[in-house]
Amino acid sequence: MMSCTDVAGLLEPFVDSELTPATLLDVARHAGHCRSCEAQVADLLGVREALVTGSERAVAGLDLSGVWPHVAREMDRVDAQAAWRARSEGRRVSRRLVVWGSVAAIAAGAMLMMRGPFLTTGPVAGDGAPAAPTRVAKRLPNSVYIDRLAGKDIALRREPKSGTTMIWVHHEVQNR
Amino acid sequence: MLTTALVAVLAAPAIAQAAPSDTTLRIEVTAVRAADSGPSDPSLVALRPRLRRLVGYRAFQVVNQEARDCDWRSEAHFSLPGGRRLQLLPKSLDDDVVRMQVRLLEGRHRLVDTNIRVMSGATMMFGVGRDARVGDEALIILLKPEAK
Repeated sequence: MMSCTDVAGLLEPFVDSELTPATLLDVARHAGHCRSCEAQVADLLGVREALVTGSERAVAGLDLSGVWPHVAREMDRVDAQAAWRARSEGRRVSRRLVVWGSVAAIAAGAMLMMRGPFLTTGPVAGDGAPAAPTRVAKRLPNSVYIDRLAGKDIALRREPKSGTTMIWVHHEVQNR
Repeated sequence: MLTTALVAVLAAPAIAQAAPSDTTLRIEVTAVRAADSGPSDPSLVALRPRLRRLVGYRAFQVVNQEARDCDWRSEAHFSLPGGRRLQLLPKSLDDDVVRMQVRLLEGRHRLVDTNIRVMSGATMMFGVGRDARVGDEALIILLKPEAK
């Protein structure tokens, strides 16, 4: 069976379901018999729950008032186009399909805007807590997206030309 | 027990989200010593201007380089100078972006613990040391994952 030391680095991926099934079971078996590790799992679950709740609140707070008027305008435009086509070509167009296709496209666009692939975190103050998300205009050759960052006396540096990212640790070098 | 109930919930997505077993992940870790003055390694000529802008030091020498294939969802360790090591846990590959957990360790002490998404073939850097204005040496770690 795994020891607390073996499990220490695996608790976080365990809670995030990122381990292989076999390792997942090993960690669960250990945590089932170890109060300390079980407590850590419970803590991590609490953190994850808080993050999920926070994200849901943030999404709920988004102002989407401009989306539906745009959808309505788009539906009117598609209606008019469909009517014109039906008249000029003598064919029946499935309006509903086109309208819902447009709605789906708009919804997909809105989703991409809200949680696109370029969502990344800003500089870190040094206590490990990530700053508010910011958007990067384009994907550079060395683009790195930092989902979580923890450590003491750390700073995030970015080289704008290539997008190269460096995590700098203010720490005495002792390798001489 | 809490954990017993958790397994049932957590195991399902873990199995469903299979690792990209058909894709090999090669990770290259290069340790570079940065100093105020002195010659720079010829292999770092292309990187030198970028390194100078990022860290402020002027001379760069490769002290250690290791590249090897790593398994998905399995920890990989790369030794670094000064008793440090880089502990990597590659998690997934999505749209040519490698998602991994990276820990920079010094003995049992975690200097950095981060989850990153990096483009396959791109280079991510870590630096350990004092600011170039007050320090005389730093360690730069170049991390380059490449999915093939």
